[in-house]
This record gives sequence, C-alpha cells and structure tokens, in this order.
Amino acid sequence: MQEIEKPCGNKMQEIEKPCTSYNENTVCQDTFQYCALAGAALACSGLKDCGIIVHGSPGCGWVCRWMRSDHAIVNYVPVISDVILEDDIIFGGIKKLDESVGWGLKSWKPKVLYILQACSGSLISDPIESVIAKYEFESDIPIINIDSGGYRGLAATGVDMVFTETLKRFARDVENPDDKSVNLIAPFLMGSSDWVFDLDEIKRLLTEMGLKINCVLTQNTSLEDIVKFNHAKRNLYLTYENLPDFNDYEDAHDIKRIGFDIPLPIGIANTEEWYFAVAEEFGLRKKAEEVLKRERKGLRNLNFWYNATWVMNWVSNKRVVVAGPAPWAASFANFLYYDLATFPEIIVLYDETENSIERAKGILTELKKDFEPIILENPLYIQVLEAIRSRPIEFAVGRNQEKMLFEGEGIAHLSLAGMQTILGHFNFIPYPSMGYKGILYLLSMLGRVVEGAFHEPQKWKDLKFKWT
Amino acid sequence: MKLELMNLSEAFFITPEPRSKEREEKFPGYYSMWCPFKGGFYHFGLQDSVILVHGPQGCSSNTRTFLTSYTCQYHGTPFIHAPCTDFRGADAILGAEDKLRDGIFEVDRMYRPKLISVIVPCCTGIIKEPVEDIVEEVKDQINAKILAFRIEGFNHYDCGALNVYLSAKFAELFEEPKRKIPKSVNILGVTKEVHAKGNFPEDSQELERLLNKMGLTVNSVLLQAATVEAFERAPEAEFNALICPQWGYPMAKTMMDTYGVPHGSGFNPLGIAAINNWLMDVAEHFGIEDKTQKVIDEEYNQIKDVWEEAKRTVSGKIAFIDGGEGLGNVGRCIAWGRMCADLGMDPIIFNICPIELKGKFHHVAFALERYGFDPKIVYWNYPHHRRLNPLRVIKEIGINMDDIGVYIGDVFPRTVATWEEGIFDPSVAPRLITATHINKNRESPGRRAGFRGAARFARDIIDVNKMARRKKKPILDARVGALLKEA
Repeated sequence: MQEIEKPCGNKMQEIEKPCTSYNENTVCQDTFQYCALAGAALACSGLKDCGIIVHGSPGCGWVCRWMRSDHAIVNYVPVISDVILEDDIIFGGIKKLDESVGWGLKSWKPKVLYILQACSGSLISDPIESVIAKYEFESDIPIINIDSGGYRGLAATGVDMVFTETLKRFARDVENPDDKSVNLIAPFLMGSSDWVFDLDEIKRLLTEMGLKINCVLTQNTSLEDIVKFNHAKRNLYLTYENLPDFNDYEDAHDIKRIGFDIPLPIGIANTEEWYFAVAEEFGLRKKAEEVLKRERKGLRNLNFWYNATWVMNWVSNKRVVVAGPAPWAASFANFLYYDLATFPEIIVLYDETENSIERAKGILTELKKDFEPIILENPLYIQVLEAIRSRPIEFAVGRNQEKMLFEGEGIAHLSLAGMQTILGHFNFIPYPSMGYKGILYLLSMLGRVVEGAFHEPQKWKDLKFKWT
Repeated sequence: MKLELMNLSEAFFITPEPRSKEREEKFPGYYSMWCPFKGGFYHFGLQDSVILVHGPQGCSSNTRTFLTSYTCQYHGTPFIHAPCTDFRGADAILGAEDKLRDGIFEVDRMYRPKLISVIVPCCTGIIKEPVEDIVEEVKDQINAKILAFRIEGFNHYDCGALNVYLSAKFAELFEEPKRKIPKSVNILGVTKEVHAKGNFPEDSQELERLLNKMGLTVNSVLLQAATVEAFERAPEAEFNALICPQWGYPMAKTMMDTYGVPHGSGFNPLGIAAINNWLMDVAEHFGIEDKTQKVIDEEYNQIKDVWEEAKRTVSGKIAFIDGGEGLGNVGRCIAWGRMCADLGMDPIIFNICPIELKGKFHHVAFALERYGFDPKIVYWNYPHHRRLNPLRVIKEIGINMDDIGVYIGDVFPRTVATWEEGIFDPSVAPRLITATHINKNRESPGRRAGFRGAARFARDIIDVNKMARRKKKPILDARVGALLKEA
C-alpha cells in the first residue's frame, strides 16, 4: 500500500486554507459539515473519564452535547458551556470560565479536562492559561486548552487539534514499537452513521488477521491507551481528511500513515480491497485470505433467502444519488456498482480538506472507466438540486439531515451516513454495516428504501375501496 | 439552593432581569435551551426564501444537525437552503464585507428567492460587520426582498426575547393593504408547526376549522414556513388572533399601529375555558357572539362525555408539570396548567428556570392579566442547566404520590422503577407525554388546541390513570434506567 505524503507540507504558513476543499465556483458555501468546535468535541468525547468546558455561547454547548452523543453509547462525557454573553465580549469571560472549570473539576472529578474555545470565546482572547495554571496546581488534573473557534475550520481541524495536543501531553516515547500493532484514526469521520458498530467489526477483522489494536483515536479510549500510542508503527486512517498537526506528530515519532488509497470496507468488493491492502502492509495477506474465506460462509444462506434476492434484484440497474462524507460516499458508490449492479448516477462528496475529496475521487477511478457519474465536490445544495433534476434518479442514500431535500423532489431517501444518535437512524441493533457481515445490515436498510421508492401508497389512497 | 413552592406571579416578581448581574449570581451557569442563532435559525425557513449566514460554515451545519432538521422532519418545513459566506480567520481581522456583498448577489442570481434573510452569528457580530449597511446598499440592486437579523449566540440572554425581536423584524414584510377582506382573520404566532396539509393536524388547522364554522375565513397563518406573500397580504385581514403571544403579539402590534388591524388577547387555547375564551374574543370583534356560542355548544356537546369523565377522574388532584430538558417551556407549561385547572386539578410546574419566566414575559403577563391564572411554580436556580428529578421535587415539596392526577412532561418525562416494580413510571403514576413534536395523533393537534385537542387530552388523562392502577410490570424505559443502578 502506498504511503501518502503529507499533502499540505508547509503551505499552511503561506496561505490561509490551502488544504480546504470548497466550492471554487461560488462565493457562498452550503454543506452539512460540522465546525472545528464540533470536531474537537467529537474527538474529546471518545476519551474515557474526561470532561468538557466550552468557553463560548450556550448554543455551542449544545453543539458539543450533540457531538458526544454517538460516543455516549459506550462512553458518557459531561459538557457545559460557560455561557459567554454580551458583557463578556467586552469585559472578558475569564471569571465565568474560572467558575465553570472549578465547578466541572469538583462535580465530575475527571482524569482530564478540556477547555474548548468556541468562536466567541476564541475571538475575545481571554487569558485562559491563568485559569489552567491555577486549577492544575490546585487539583493535579490535567487541563487542555483547544482554540477551536468555528472560524478556524471544520471538524477535521478541531479533531487535528485535540489529537495533537492530547498526544503531546500524554503519549510516551517507545524504543521498540510493535510491527503488528496498529492505531485506528478518527473512526467518527468515516461518515457511516453506523460507525460505532462498524468500528467494532473493523477491530474484529483486524484482530482476526493477527494484528493488535493498540489505540483507537478516539472511541472509548482510556488515558492508558493514549500513553502507549507510540507503541504501534502504523496508523490506519478511517478518514481521508488531512490532519496536518497530527501528521507532524506522526512524522516526529516515525509512525506510518496508511489507509488513504483504499475504500472503506462497505460491501464485498470494498471489504476485500481494504482488507487485503491492510494485510499486505503487515505481510499478512495469506492469513487475510483465510479469514475472508471463513467469513463468507456467513453469507451462504442469502442464496435461499427470498427477501434478500428480492432486494438485490430490485435495486439493480437503478440510478441512485449517493451523498455524504467523502470516504463513505465514494465507498458506498463502489458498493452499489460492484456488489449490486446499481448505478451511482450522482456522487456528492463532502469533506473539509481537498485531500479527502481527491482521495475519494481516487477510489472512484475504476468505476468511472465504465460509466460517467456526476461527481460533485462540496456543492451548494442548490447545485445538488440542479444535478438531480438533470438525471433520472430512483432513490438517494445519504444523511438524515438532507432527507427533506431529496424527498421534497419526490426521491425516496435512505439515511446511512452522518451521525447515528442525533435525529437518529433508529438502529438499536449493534450490528455493523461494514465487512462481509455488514451485507446483512445493508440489505435490510436497502429493503426500506425499496419500500419507500417503489411502493405505491398514493395509488392506494386514490383507488381505495369506497366503503361508507 | 432549597426548592420553594410559590405562585407564578411571585416567582416572576422576585426573579432578577435576565441581563442583570444579579441574575448571574443567583443562577450560575444557567442559560436558555439554545442560543439565539440556534433558536432563531429554523424560523427563517419561509417558503422560497434563502438564509444567508454571514459566518462560518459550521454555524448553519450545527443547527442542521438537530434543530432545523427535526423541525422539518416532524412539522413539515421544507428543506432550508442556508448558504454562508464561509467566514475564516483572516476575515476576523480584515472583515468580510466584500464576501457578504458578493454572496448576496450570488444568492439572488442562483436561487432566485423571494426573500434573503441575512443572519449574523457570533464571529461577525463580535467584529461588528456592517451588515445592515450592506443590505441597505444592495437592496435595490437585487430581485429578492432582503432582511438582516442579528442573532449572535452571545446576544439576548434569553431566547424568549429573541422571539420578540424576530417577530418584529418579520413584520417588516407587511405591505400596505390594497383591500380589506371582510370577515377574515389572521392567526399569528404559529411556530414549528406548519399550516399545510400533512399526515397529522396542527393547532392552526383546528382553529381554522372552528373559525370557518363561525363564518370567518383565515387570511394568513404566520409564520412557520409561510409564504412571503402571506406576510405581505396579512394587513388585509380584519382581525388578528394569537396562538403564541410572544411570537404573535409583536406582529399584531405592528399591524395595529401601522394599519389599524385590531387583535385579540386570547392565546394558546388549550382546554375548554381557553378555547371558549379565544373564540369569543374573535366573535366580539365581528359581533357574532350568538352564532359563536352555538358553535361552542355544538363542539362541547361532541366531547362532553369524555371531558366530564376526565374531570371526575382527576378533579382535586395535582397536575405535576415537568418543563423538561429545555427548562424554558414557559408557554406550553402554562397552557397545559390551564387545561389541567379546567379539569379541576391544581397545577404545580417545575423544571422551568425562573429566568425563562422573565424572558418569556408575554406568556406570564397574558396568563395573569387575561385569565387570572396564577399556578404554583417550583422555584430553583438550575445551576449549569441541571434539571430537577421529579422524585426530588415530590420529596422536598412534600407531595403525596397518590395525589398526582397526571404527570405531564416535555422532552422527556422521567420514569423511575426497579426492574421488578414501578416507582414513578406509568405502571404506578399517571404519566402523559406532551412534547409537541412527538404528540402526533390522527384526530387531534399536537399541542392540543381547540375542542379536538381537549378531547384527546381528556381521553389520555382517563387512560393513563387506568394504566397507573395496574401497579405491576413497569415500562421498558423505566426498567432500562434501573439497570444503571444495578451496574
């Protein structure tokens, strides 16, 4: 597997957003992507026994509560905002921060406390270090300050800051890192709404291959896991986003980045490509082949399962929109095309960094040799609308928050991307959508969109039995 | 701080002003449910309009995460187009006037909207971007109407005050009436719920049904997902009736001051007394009291049996009303309280932060002055937005559990049980979920307005009391909670 060079290099110092992908054709942007604060909260919430104080307005406190929700399935993290208001914008909000930190340390007794600065807290430049010094001295609890104002970037920017600062603070140097250990990076940026359970499956598959999961950055991760982070020689990325500061950390500790040039393991063809590529990186190809050979036996009964064959045939040859975070959308498009003979007619890629969009486009290269989908990169929603009116589309797959856009156009929509628990996807069964096993989940979900798209309730209403 | 039980009027009187320093001392770390940006954002989703956020991408995305999307999904607001100017670090130093100016022209050209609502979040508010100046500069060069709203997250402590501000700003869309439509009424202050055909009825549809029976027509229902034309033609109506006074009154006042359109003082017509009052308020203006009384009698006769049975079931008991996670559902709690009082219950409201009473003063003032309704409030300071457990309230206030006629809750009522038996769950205590967005029923509006709303409420009251008599088999939600303690 090809190791990806840090694409940003030193450009970050030259211009403001060299790595940020945005719609070059328009002044305005209209995508559903979280801000740096939200990304920071996502990253922190994957750490056990931490607490979060948001130095910002109350609404930003709620953003962070939403972000922690997916993690709360396995790990609950308390969050409050110190409520920056008009007076504090002028006179400073340090007193409120001081009180909130004191309250948080006393009430939660965390192992580490994060201060996440929202836009308002960041722009007024309070002397936060003085509060940190005071309470670290008094409590002996580490306090990490993250300047994660939304104007500084989107989620990957916040994630980058938290990863880097946390590792710098806690991770210890290792003399002899383990060649068969791997860290998993940013599972919550995969884009799958089932990411919590997908991560479990990814860990299981990697373990079956003979790898040791050293640290997940981050999900239900203990400080002890962070301390031994450098024990692994490789970081397997579950996002295509660029994390420049974190990349610097990796380079300084001679940790190799892998996973950017392969699809996420959604469906059969993707799973094989992903699994074998990872296996080859560790010299475990033969073992990986044995594992997948065993795994595929679990799908044998699908052959006689009428519902499954019904769904697989229904979705074949249909024209579909796939819209979502870049790695998920590109991988899902591949799944539709290679596993189901469905045409992902319009593929909408969203992500913060240009690198992510390019990597997603890279894994669509093969597919594009066969037919010509429209690929939109961080488009305005009005441009998505324009695209879907230009092609005959049978259904759409993406995020719940975009359902109204598609269904408003009369296109049935299936939510499989985005976060899980906020306006959830109502999937309570801890079952993955990835790996061979994930096929069962994906077919179940596609069954729902078959009902939504191809049942005829309007005709039922219009033509119903006139019983009085 | 110890819990105190006092009347709404007293709680309102002793609570400091939301913006005062005294408030910060007495209510540490308390804030309204949302910030003005989040609380306001989804109300801009008028039909064929665009929100232009002069700020970072994350601001609109963060509200899409939940508030905007749930309003769309459960109430029917169409997908909201909300491009932003992608405000960045350099813009914080140098300003982004050009981005805003170009963005407005671009939105006008690409979307061809009827209205552009330019909204200002924290970043651009802090650096005092001259948004109003730019809007003034470009307004004659674009096809869309354009309004600027300052809804920075740090602004207006209580979201209640925000609603008043937004309502008054939207009133700028009113146009000089070209005619007067005889016997026509506007319904003002409809938010979240959308007045359009859907799977489930909304309050405004129940009220329109009743107004139609009185021989009146509804001109405009404002404001959620209304058309810009509905705003423009609103002053053509003869009378304005309110649902939410906080959202409705500023618009009504503008129409009265500018175009001489009178308005009523009834609001949130939940329960028999309130809907009678609301309808007669309208009837008096049109001089159709007798006809309206006949409508009221006819409607009441249809629900009389269930309403009277509910009264017999809970009269003399306590209506234990939980404001829920938001701690700011003043209007709804007061309206439910009034409906419960209609059934002969004594309402006790908790999980409403006193600051919210001040912020949403219209609801308090209208309840006290219009109806003389002064329910009991559990006074507490809710530090850092912590919510009270109902069992703590029951214990500290000294309520006998058997005296509770109904436990009503918004987002979401608590249930407590061991795995084997209920402690405070529907198997032992009459619980009724009244959160509007999950209160969808075929025959009744979600907020329970009008006669159909009252009938459904009464039927639910009867049934949850019967359910609470089973004294066994606690519900799943409560049992799952019990597992935490076992762990």
